Amino acid sequence: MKPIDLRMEGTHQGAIEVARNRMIFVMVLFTIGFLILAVKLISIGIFQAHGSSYYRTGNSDGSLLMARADIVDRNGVILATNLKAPSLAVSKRNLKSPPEEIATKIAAIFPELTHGDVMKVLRNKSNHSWIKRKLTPKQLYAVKQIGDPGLETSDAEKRIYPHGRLLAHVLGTLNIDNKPLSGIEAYFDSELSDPTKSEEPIILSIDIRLQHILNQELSLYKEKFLALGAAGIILDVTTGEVLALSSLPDFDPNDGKGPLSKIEINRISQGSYELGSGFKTFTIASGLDNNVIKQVDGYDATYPLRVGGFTIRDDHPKKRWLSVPEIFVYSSNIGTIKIAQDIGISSQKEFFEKLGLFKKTKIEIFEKTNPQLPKQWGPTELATTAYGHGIAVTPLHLVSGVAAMVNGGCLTPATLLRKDSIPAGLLSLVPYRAQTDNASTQVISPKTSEIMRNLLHWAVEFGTGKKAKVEGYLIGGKTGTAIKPFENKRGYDDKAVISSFISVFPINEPKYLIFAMLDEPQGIEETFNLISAGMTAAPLVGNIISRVGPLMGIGTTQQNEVEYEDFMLVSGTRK
Amino acid sequence: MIKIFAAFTILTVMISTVSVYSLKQATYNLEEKKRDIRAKILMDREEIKVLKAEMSYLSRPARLERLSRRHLVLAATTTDQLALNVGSLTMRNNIQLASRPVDNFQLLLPREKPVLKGQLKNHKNIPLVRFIEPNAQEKEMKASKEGISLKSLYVSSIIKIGN
Repeated sequence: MKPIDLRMEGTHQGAIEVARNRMIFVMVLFTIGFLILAVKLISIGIFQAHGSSYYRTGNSDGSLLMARADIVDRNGVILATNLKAPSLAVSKRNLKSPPEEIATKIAAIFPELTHGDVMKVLRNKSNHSWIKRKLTPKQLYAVKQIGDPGLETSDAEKRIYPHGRLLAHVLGTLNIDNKPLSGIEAYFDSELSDPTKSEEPIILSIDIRLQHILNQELSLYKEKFLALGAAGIILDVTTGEVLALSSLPDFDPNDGKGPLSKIEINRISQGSYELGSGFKTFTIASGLDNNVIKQVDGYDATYPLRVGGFTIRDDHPKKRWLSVPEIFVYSSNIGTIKIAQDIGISSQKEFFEKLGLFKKTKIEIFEKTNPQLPKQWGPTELATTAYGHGIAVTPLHLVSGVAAMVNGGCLTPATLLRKDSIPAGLLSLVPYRAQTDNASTQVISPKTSEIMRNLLHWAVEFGTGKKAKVEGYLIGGKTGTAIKPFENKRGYDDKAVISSFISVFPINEPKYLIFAMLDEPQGIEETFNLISAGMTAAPLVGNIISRVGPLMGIGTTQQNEVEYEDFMLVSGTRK
Repeated sequence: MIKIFAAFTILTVMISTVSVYSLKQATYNLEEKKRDIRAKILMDREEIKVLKAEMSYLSRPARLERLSRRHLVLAATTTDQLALNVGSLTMRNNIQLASRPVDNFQLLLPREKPVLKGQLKNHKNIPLVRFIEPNAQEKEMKASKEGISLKSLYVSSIIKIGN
């Protein structure tokens, strides 16, 4: 059937034409609209990327961003870490429950806040006010359980030291605004607060177990002898790594306050003392190494010596000629001075300088002091420095020097970082390691070092350090009892001494150096009121060795073999 | 012909648009999921950090020492328990036990019920546990000293203890 072609004419035709035109116009509009939609759809589908995702405190690779990196010990035990510690604020406009109810609930969470305290905050005029800073995770959970939109928490972090006081002097602390005050925190501040490295911990050379042993024994002996303070260090003599460093009294780094008073300083690196007989190690090593003396040489120690108006006596007088080993073993001041006089001022000074005794130590904390040196070097200074008086150095100086005496003659600066794990970024901060491997310098010959090991061993076996003996181990050590100068620096106080003991074990194959000192120990009945180092510091170090040795798996030796006994006239020599 | 071509083109465009769009949507969903997971990971990491700190706090050497003293019978190693090498160990022939190991409790072992002798004539009256008389230890020791018995006291006492 053919469609009928109808055609209107006249006025009707005009109306239909208009209608058709309008329809076409509308259709065109619709077509354009749909085309635009289609094009847009395609362009959205193909070209347009999604808006970047929003990440909570993380960066694009999903790592957790914290304001400060962790510090761990050599075995990976966390010593300092940052935890989220939000602060709690209240926004009164958003508060839904009555303030009394909120105050009761909050006061129940924080034992240090009373209901009244919270009400005071809730009643003051400003809309937004802080209730409590640095919440613990448990407190935060409890606050969220209240579930009031008016309680707001802000993102903040708190530095946590899980071990508390144990490592206060090494780690240092941050103040309440997270600014470092002392210790490793201050020295490596830029590294620790670098946001790109917040997941790379700084690995210390400290071993927390040894630190505990050192700290425990030190505090025990500090109590026992009613000492003003005590300090100790355990050093690996082969690498110069500090395995434990303790100084008492200490502080709790979690409090956000550094060492408050003068007695809370780091005595190992910051306190400079006249350390006494420990220095005889250096004098005798210097003499042996410069070929001024030999082991078989002898000196007359019968009469006290007058040097520059002072009379110098021996603490353990033998009143006879002494061989070089005997001078060391019986800690004869007279003999040591005579050796020093043979060495001469310039050689002695040069040797001390080589040992780094004239400048600050290089350890990675800022709490360091310059040694106090004699103003001019005359015969008196030569004599007094020979046995460790008239020159005040930090214990760390002595420890590094003695480590060089026993480890084959290599002076390696003491470090607080684990040696095999220093990231490249830290190298610039560790000055001596920026150079190549030969950061350590040869200060005495290996042969002299071997003789020094023997001398140290004899001092424990027959001499002043007998109380440090530990069954099964070969120990070397030297006592040091130094009288303290008066506060006004005029003369010395005979009653106030610094007793120190520096020991190395196993002495046949030196590994650990243990140093302990007591500041002004008081005589007790057990030691017949004696306060010399042989009575106070030596047994302390002996105790530490007997605990550290088995822990670190140091094998025992069946019997203490002593070589070259003939050099000494010793009563009670074995066999 | 043109109509078919046009229809085909339009259809293709529509299908491809829809498929690209759905792909895009699927990717977006995955992104969303990834973002959620990442947020979860971050939260977990935070929690792990807290737990690690807690672990470090709870394993303070002083605390462990206190706990081990209270709950364990073990003590720290002493120097006389160490040896330089195997060669320096003594031969364990004449070792006497100072006391029984602390964790060796006396157990009640099953035994035969006591029966009257007349009741069961054919029953072989064998005890299940062999007793070593108290002075057997000394006898064994003497024997081992004289070199008669190769079995050392250490071995025999281990048998007795039942390890």
